[in-house]
Amino acid sequence: MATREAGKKMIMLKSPDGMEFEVEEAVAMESQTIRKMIEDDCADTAILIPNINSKILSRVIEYCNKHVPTTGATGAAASDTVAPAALAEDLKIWDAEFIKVNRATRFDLIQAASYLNIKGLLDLTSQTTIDTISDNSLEEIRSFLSTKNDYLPEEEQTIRRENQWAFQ
Amino acid sequence: MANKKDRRSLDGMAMVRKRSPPGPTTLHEVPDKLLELILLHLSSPLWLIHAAATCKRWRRIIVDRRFLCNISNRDPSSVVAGHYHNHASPVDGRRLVFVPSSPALAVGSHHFSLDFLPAGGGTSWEIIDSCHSLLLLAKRKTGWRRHCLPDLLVCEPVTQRYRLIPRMEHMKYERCLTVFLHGCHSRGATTRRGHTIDVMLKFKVICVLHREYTRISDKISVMNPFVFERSYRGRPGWYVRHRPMDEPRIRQDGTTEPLHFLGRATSSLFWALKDDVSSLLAYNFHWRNAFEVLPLPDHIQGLPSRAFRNDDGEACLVCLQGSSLHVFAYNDGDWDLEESLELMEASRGLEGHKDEYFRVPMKIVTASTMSIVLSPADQTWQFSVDLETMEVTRYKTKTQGSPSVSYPCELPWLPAIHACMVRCRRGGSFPCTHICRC
Repeated sequence: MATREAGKKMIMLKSPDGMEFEVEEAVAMESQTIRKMIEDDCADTAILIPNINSKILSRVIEYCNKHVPTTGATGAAASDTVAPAALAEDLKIWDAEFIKVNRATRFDLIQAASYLNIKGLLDLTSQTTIDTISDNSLEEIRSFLSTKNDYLPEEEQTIRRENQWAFQ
Repeated sequence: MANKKDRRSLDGMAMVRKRSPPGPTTLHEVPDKLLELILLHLSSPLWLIHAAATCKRWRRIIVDRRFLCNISNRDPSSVVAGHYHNHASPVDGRRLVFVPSSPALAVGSHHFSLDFLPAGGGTSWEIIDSCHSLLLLAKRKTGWRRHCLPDLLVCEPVTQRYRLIPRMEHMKYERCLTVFLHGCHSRGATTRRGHTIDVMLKFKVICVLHREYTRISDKISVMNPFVFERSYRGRPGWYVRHRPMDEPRIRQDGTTEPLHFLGRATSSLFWALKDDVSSLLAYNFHWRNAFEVLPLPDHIQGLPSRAFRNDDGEACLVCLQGSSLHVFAYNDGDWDLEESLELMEASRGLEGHKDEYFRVPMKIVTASTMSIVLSPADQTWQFSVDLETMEVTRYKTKTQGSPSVSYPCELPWLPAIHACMVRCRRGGSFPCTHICRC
């Protein structure tokens, strides 16, 4: 199972719930954590990814598959003929589609991206979360995130006075 | 499509399902470390303030030293709140106008009113420079005193704070060549302790004064740079800038103005020398604090020109040669040609364009940091060239008034966010980096 196709080294990723994913080394190396493991020769047979369940791990692999640099023989079909700008645009649309998940999954993805150290995925998930809270008023943010306002009235008053312009 | 393909490749794998522990479902349950990573994506001071006002836990994360250092390294988006103009209208006199850059910014433009200024609000002051969230204003003067060092004022419109900068009494009749704000260029800096730096305490105002000495046979001019800043003891005042070794003494043969101000780049000011077209006078105020005379290449000597800084921060010179515009960048003693624009061709599509306008040399009407307004001699038809994109647009004098410089004003980044909202028992004797629980 170590090499499925000629010229492509495969890596086995294991989730704590026992599921195994076989991915190309280049795809797995999108994660800086796994890259370090591979470079340090700690990844002979299979890498156990703790804390990340199979559902999330499969999503993460899906993301890495799409975002692996498409150069040389590993490139997806016709990648050489597409202009880089169009490719980036395509990737953006794909990202937007990819991140249309419920909140729980998104937080799991943030956690996974942080542990596996995948900058692109971490930026994407965090930015999406931030986008949902920005452009809203304070009360809307609180109700949306079901966060309790734990400031005393006098503290709240001081907060508003501190940066008055930000509160209309 | 790609989705399906990827899924198919995953389907072939062995699936052994086990129940995994439920993850966080609200942002409230996300661990601090992750919440910090998420909040680092707040790219507007407005959202940062809102996030800090949401709950105590968020505020605690935001005022943390590490968080502030990390977020200050990011370049915030959408911080330019709008532009100020000095507007002279025949109907309601002189006033300062604020034009918000985008309504989506969600900060009411009434927060940018300058009514809080002393001595007549916006009517007796005139904007002469801006830097991030600060404005530099000068008291309006008439007559010959217009050229002398005026009373100055630095203000942050959004927080309605200002500081008066009285002129130096013993220098009040000295001719003032230029005054500008300096030292607040590092946006969002934090102190070593991780506190946000208050720009109202950190700014510097640099002015270059000019004195003429009459000698038996000729006149010479001497330039003196001064800076208004807080001394290391914290006392604000005007200080003589470390006097440059090669203080320029410009021989003046005629009675006309010896210098013509061309503009300011990242670290230098430029003047054209009236009596000597072969070179420019530059004052590097940033690192070297020295005057130098820069020779100009033969073919651009004596042309009408303006200095500005380009996107890469290089000092640039835009020269008007007949009906073509050239942009030169200063690089280690050389002026390299960056761009050229044939004005007659470029402006052909514009309304009111006539080819005969370009038979006579064009003139520079005004120039700001990013654009230059040109017009054919003796014509009211004007057009502006964006110095970044070299795009040509019609400049309508009727709707846009006389061409004026616009001064961008930003929201404060980083904004002041205090850890303690009420006076804590420590009495402010120690830095509060976390929410007090005392």
